[in-house]
Amino acid sequence: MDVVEEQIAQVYAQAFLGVANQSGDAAGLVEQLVSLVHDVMDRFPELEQALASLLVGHAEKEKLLDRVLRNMAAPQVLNFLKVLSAHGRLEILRAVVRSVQSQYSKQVGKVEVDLQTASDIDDALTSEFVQVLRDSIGAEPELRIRIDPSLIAGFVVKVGDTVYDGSVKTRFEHARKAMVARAIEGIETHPESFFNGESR
Amino acid sequence: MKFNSDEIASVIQQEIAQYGSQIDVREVGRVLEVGDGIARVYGLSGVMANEMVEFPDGTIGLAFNLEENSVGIIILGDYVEITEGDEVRSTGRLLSVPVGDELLGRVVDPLGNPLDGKGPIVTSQRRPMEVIATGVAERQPVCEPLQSGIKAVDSMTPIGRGQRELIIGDRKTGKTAVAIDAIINQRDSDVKCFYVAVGQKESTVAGVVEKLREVGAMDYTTVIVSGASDPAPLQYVAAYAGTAMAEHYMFNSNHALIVYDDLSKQAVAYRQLSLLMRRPPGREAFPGDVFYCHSRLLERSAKLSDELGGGSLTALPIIETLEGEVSAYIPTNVISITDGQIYLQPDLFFAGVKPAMNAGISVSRVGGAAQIKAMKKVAGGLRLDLASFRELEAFAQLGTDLDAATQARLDRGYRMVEILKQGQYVPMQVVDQVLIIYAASGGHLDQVPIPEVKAWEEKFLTFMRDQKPEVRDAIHEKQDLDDELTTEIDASIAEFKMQYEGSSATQPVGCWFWDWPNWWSGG
Repeated sequence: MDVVEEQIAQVYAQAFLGVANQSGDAAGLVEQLVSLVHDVMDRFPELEQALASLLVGHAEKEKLLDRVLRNMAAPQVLNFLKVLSAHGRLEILRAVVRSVQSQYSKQVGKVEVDLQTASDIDDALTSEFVQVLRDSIGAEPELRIRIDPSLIAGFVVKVGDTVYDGSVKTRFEHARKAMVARAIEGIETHPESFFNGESR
Repeated sequence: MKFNSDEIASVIQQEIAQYGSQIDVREVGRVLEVGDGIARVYGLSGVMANEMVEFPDGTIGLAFNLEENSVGIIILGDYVEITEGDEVRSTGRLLSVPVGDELLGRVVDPLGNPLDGKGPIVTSQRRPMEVIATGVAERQPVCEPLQSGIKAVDSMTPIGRGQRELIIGDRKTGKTAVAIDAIINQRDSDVKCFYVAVGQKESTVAGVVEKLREVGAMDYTTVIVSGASDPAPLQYVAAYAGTAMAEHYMFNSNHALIVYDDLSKQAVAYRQLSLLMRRPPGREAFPGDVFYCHSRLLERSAKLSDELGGGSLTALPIIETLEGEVSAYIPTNVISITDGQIYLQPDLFFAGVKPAMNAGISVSRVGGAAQIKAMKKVAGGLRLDLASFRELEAFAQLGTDLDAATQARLDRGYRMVEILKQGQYVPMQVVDQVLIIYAASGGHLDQVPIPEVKAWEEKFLTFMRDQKPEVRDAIHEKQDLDDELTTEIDASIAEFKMQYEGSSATQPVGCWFWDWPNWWSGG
């Protein structure tokens, strides 16, 4: 992750959200932009390369965007892409979209939450998680579930920069450290018992 | 080795019993880039400046730069194991080091981990590494002497407990030797010593530790090492860590002495960190706050008020100059922070004057308050006399004819210089210093040939120790020279001179030239 890139992306994202809010259909516009990255660029990486490339000039990029997106994208989205192109910032499009997503979530009172579990969880458990998280963080959680068998059992929830770790893996790690610490303490306080044991 | 399986079982049992109740909550960030002892971390939005953070392998870091989108961390340890994407967790604590008597006699790294292979350091006490120095109300003026055991220092630039006296000079002029002698001389005092080696060759530090051990000084000394191969962050914090360990004694009504060897290298380490963190460079590429870096460190040396127990921390920072350039950035900074400096000069060193202290520009701003009265009386005008002798000597080299009075002053000066020479690792008791300086400044050595001055001094001090212990005891007791005592000393000197002349007359050839091997080893 490039810190400078993120910072620039934030500014563009803020501007786009301003336009989206004025249009009255912020959710739709944000969804369109996200879908552009996920549904179009992921499938046609050549398009992303062409848009990001410095070898392709602004005029050509403008024509390209017109040809590809005029009939499908909302004018605000198309204009936004053209502005990015004019400023030579299309290469940070993904960072901009990420920032748009997170700023929009914040705006509508949603909080992104990473949930890691050891095994697949059913819908009932998921909704229970959502309920508990809603109560504790006071906002609508937007769950991103990831399955990580190395946790053994339990779960890890990450809200912002804070991690709530209830995994067995971490508990084992704590137990291991506690045992090592206790053994070291034993060696330090009664070294003679260890030496005697060795000589016997 | 024998481990008790019950103990292990009890740990696991505890874990099982509390299983449902515990959730590990931590604030984390992610490593964006790492290298040269620093890491840039994304996240950690709630971290405090100078807060301790922990990397997955247990390495400790310090939040150094808090920026809008990232946090700059200095890594105190091995940064080779840390990779991009690693989770960094904040601890909510400031960095602290172990303190206490358990550290005496040990060689440790800046985090208090032992480096001497003598087992773990078991102490429950810790002190934060960075604290704000004591304020005006908590201090009192320096009033007790800290005897360095070096004649030139104790007579002309006395050091008091709680003072900061800079030792400055080019490379290979005996800066460390002065500091080590001061540590060795604390043998019979209650002063605990701390030697902070920053950016030194490990072999040099090993030599110093070996020497301290040999003379029995390690019993009351802790050596904090951050060698030349250690990462810059460790070199930077070593001085603060050592100070925290020493402050423990100051705040418990005891006395401590700390030697920073040397602060120029610490400044260079700090410059490296700051440049890597993209802080703007200033003069000589040092960051703007390099002055504060040293001033906040040296301000922590103090003499506490009686209400706080009257403890003290004396600092002997060392600065290495290039070609005698004291007006470079770091030397001027540290000169202005400290309460005086001992300036060591290469040409004096090569002329055989050791310690090679330049009496003219070496000063102690605490002055007489840091001397016992007896020393103040005998050495009062010594510094100025010596400085004027140096001028006169330079003039006399022109070869002009000198009148008798000038020649006499020159002769006295030559002998005084000879008296102030002193071997390494042989610090001298203050009573002996008073006696020999009294004898020399009283003109009792004017008739002694210069090459024999050393031998005269040794024999005189042996004579006083063996045959006039009552005089030494009296000086020791009174710490002052009254008329009665000076008469006694004069009588003793007269008696010694008789004996000395008698013994030297029995020698077959009285000329130093024929006796050159002895003269050479003595000089």
